[in-house]
Amino acid sequence: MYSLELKQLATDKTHVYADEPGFEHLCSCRNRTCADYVDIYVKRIDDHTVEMRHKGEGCMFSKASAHVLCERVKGMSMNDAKEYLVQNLERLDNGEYGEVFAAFSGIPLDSSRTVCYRYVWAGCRDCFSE
Amino acid sequence: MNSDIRSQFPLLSEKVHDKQVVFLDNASTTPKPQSVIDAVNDYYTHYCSNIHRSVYSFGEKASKAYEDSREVARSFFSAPDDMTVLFTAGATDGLNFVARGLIPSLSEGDTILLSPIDHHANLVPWQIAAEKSGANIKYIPITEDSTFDMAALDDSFFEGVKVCAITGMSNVTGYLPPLEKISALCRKNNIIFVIDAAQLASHAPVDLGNLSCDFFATSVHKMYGPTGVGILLAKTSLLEDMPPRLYGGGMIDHVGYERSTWATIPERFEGGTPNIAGVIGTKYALEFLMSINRESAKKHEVDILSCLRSALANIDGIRLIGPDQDTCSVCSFLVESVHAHDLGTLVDHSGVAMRTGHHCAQLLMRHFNAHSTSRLSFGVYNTFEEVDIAVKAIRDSLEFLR
Repeated sequence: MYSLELKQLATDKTHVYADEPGFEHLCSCRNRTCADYVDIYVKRIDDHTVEMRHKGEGCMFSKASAHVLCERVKGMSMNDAKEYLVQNLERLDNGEYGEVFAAFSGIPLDSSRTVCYRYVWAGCRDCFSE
Repeated sequence: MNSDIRSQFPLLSEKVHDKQVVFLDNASTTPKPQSVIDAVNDYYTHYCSNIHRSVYSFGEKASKAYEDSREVARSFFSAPDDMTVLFTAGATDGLNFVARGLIPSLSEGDTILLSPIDHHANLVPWQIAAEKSGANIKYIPITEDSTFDMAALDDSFFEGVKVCAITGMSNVTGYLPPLEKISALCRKNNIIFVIDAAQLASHAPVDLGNLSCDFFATSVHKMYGPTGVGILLAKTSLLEDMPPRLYGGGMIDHVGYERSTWATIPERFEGGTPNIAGVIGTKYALEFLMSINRESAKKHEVDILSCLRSALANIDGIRLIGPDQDTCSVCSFLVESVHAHDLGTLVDHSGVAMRTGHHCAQLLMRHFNAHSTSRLSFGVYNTFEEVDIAVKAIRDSLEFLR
């Protein structure tokens, strides 16, 4: 389940929120099975592109997942980011890790730990949908 | 003694990731001895039938086995004659029943006394009871290492307290609160005393003839018995004023077109078809516990806990939480910059079953400024060798995680 790639993603601080100016709190994603959480912050660079940051308390899967999310949606519009989240979660539901979730492919899809990397994406998706 | 005991538990011979399992999540649930497995299997195989109202042989046999369990439970806890033995679905079910049943006895301005070390099962039902009755909730003050601050519990502290509901043993730290002292204070101040004994019951001998309380709730699956069964020992005089748990078959005296009347206790509180197989298996779990020397077993669990705490204290970055005195069988710890789930998943690959998370004790997590902890908890069969395996697995896992 654990790989060096996953560890690198989890410890990468590039997108960790550090009270930078211009970012607004978008949503709090919570893992109700363990009370871990990730807060997502968003900054609109211009009319078309966004940048995301994450901050919270979580396991390696959760931190890596939050990092991948911020990395992947960088430069997208809010609408595109929402669509991207929906599509990739649907793929995951169909048993495809794809390139996006490749680092998590060591975690069997029937493992209780899948929630650890899903909840950040799902929380953001739900927030976008509201 | 230990190898004789271990051989009774088939689960302890299982392998996980090609390693012999080291089962150290006994605070969550325990493996079952063969006698319990056989009893449950025997009921389903040879005399499966409903109880109390069947006049045929299988039904008579099942009814007798079910009621035998009630008598063994009474004897196991040395319950006095003024207490009733009820079967529930577990400690959570039992505590919910008690909290709900006492709502009519609570009024605005009354106080329910709880403790921040308690499991959610002994917090949330009382919060609901307070909300519905208008009662207040007050918490027993605790020290830095989460023991009860007994010096704060003077007579004035108990003013207005109607119910005191506390754990008999913390599921996070293994702390054993001074139940006798709390009991004496409750008796003195005419307070209904409720003990959540989900953890306590399997680790320490309990004599309800001496430990005076009004309700004592256990989960049989933590006592080497089947899941889905609880034993609730309750003061019969208080039960008399409580509404039935469920309305339906088995709990009525007479049913009319407009209204019905209720059976006597305990039937009044055991409506519907219960977990018959589980209750029958309960007798064998209790008999297993009675077959061992409980005081020696407790000492063994205390010794093994002490060994584990010393070994963990030597690992860089580990912070043990909770007191090191007045504890039994449970050890929780935090590791600097390592999440408990990551550690738990990795040690599983060494065969070690370790619990991680908030353990349904978020108030206590907050007290320790923690989000989740890793927890190792012992049963009567665990060995010092297993402690060594677990500690090595933790060390090896931390090498990767840090």
